[in-house]
Amino acid sequence: MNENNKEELFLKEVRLSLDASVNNLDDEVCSRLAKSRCKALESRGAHMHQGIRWFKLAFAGLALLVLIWLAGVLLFPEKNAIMAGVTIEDLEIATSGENPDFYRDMDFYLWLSTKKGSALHGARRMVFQSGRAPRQSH
Amino acid sequence: MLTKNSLSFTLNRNAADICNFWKETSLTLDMDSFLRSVERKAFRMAEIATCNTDESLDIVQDTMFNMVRRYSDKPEEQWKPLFYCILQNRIRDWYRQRNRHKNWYDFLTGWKNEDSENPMDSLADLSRKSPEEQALIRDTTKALDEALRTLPLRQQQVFLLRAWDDQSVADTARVMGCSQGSVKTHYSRAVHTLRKILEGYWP
Repeated sequence: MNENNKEELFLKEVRLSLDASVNNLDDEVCSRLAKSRCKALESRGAHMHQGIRWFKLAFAGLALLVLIWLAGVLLFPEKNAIMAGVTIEDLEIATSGENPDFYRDMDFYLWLSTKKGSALHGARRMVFQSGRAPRQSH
Repeated sequence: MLTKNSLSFTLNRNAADICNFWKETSLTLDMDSFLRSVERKAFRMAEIATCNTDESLDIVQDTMFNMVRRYSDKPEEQWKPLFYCILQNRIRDWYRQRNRHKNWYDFLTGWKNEDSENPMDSLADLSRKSPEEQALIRDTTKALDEALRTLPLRQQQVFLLRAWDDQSVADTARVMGCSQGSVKTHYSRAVHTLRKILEGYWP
């Protein structure tokens, strides 16, 4: 018998001996192992329920925030109305850096442009030079 | 009042619930049969490493808990390597902890041994075998356990995984967290040492 065969035989014997030790385990050890297994499997359900509980809590928190926001909208409608009245055009005027009088007199300049081309030219020049157009009487 | 839409929603929800329930149940059954198939071997591996039944049971229980909580959603073919990976980590942790508190541990185990029952009582229940077979199994099991305990932890666990659980070199390396070359070295050294020690039993 060569060395490899001897080793194979040795390993086979070791395997058989270890298998026998597993098959002949103490009853108490077997029952404790089974109990551990059951506990571990039960913990999976508990773990999942815990996850569901956290999800429910997060959902409840979100719902509460939405309710508070809705209550704010319903209890203070005038504030929301003021905000709702602000248009993009108003924002453009506010952020343009132009003198507000210019926009106030916009109708006059438009009227002037329909009346006379030179008058419009003069008015434009005034606006660009001073940044403010003087109010003119009609 | 039940409208058509709400009725169909309720039915769909119930169907989904039933599907989930069956999925969960079959997963739990699969996991149960898997754990049943590995628990005894895992216990013996831990027992050989720790020489302590209670500690081994704790290690196996922790391994089962981690396995079920973290990896039960993984594909079934990955369960075995994952389980042994957790088991090996737990055994290594136990070893590190024991070494860290060695004096304290020795004191406690020494104190416990004074009161504990005869260690022979915790050996395998061999009542179903003939007296000669019982004696032989008891002898060889004891001799093998003692021989395995003389090996360094890595060699011991590599030998058990390769020779007993029939795992490949690659799988053993993954489980033990080392290279395949290390696994081969550990295994061949373990076989060499064991053959020398157990010459009287298996020449």
